[in-house]
Amino acid sequence: MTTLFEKFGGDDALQAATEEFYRRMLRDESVANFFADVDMEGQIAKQKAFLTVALGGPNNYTGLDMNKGHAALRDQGMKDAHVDTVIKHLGETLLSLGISQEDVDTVAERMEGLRDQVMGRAE
Amino acid sequence: MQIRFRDRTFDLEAGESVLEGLLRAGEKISNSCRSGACQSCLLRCLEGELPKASQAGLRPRARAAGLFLSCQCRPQGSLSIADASDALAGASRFQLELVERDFLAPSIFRLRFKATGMPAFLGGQFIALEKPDGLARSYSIASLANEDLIELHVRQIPDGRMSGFLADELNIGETLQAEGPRGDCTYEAGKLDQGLFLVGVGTGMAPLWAVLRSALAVGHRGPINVLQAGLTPDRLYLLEELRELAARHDNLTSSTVVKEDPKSLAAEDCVVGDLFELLRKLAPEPRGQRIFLCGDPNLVNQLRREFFLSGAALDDILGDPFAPAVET
Repeated sequence: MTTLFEKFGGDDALQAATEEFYRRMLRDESVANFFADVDMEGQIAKQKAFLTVALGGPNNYTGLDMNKGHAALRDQGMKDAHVDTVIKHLGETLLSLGISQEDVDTVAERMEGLRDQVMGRAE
Repeated sequence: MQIRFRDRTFDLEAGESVLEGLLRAGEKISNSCRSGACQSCLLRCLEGELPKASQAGLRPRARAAGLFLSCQCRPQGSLSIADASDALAGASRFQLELVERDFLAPSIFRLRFKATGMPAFLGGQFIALEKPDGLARSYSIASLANEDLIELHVRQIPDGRMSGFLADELNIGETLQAEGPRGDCTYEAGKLDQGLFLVGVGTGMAPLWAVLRSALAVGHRGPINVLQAGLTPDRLYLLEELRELAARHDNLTSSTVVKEDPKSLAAEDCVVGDLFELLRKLAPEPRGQRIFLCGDPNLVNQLRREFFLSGAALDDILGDPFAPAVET
């Protein structure tokens, strides 16, 4: 079966998508603060690794601890509403790049599955 | 935690960077700004986990090769590391003999050197100069590989140990040790129709001068925008040269912007006002363009963000933040 990752166009397409996704987050005042002092290249590399996994691509990213990885952001006041915003921006990014609504819904579902870890309610 | 380097093992003290630890142990590591910008303290990790901050700002290729900034590296565990030079093809030590020195602006002077044993370089790369006492500072190359002399632009910093030495003590005909070249702020061959956008502040114009002339030399066809920014008009330089080039090349636009002009010195075509406002006017669509940003590190970082947010791909934004050295 073709994964969403392959359907999407592989690594180069994903790099462009990740940059667009990150751009949308930085432009959105409700979440931009969480990224204010973060190294842009490093952050985008992480987002891309995450998206690769979310789209069912080759999973060579082992450092994906969503709970620990967001602890500092929770301390800065990250709430469920911010997670909503992130999922919304990702969906809009993918739609703008020609991904079908159905596939976007699949990705959103996978992200929902990680929400409790991100919010520190599950390991 | 322990650091293995050049067949020795060192202990790092709590809170100490790899660079500080190695220097304390008596190893010779070139370094300058200690803020992660100049890249003179680049080393390579062979084994162990690098903290994120130690690779911030490095290109993906450099990260993949395990290169890291030793001044920014405060590891959580032990590391085995090596010199970066074997991973950076082409960088080595060579000699420069001073041939000519002249002023381009009240506080900026140009040095021209005859090089012996210098490896091949691309316009826009940088080299480190070493004073006889070991002090090292990085400068971008403003000349092209097919030109006879190596040209550097130096800003005279009040009480600057290197710039003072280069301005007053180094005599014509004397020789300096140098090391390099490094850096990837260079013109990419084979993309003749791509738009180029060059923004320089102060001696950040040196690498841009080389990038611009590299592009024109191969017959670049895409639009080229050069924007020089400064606090006041007397900080700008290369103005005649840029005007002349722009008159000869239809695809080249050269502009200048200064923040303030208290003595009314600005040329007619110089904008007095906000750099970012002017940029938005000049580059409504940076997507697909190659962007070169050189000069003051704070400004370069703000510009990177600005260009990225308005659509430029990260890989297309090249920059040399010129960080001042930390005096030790």
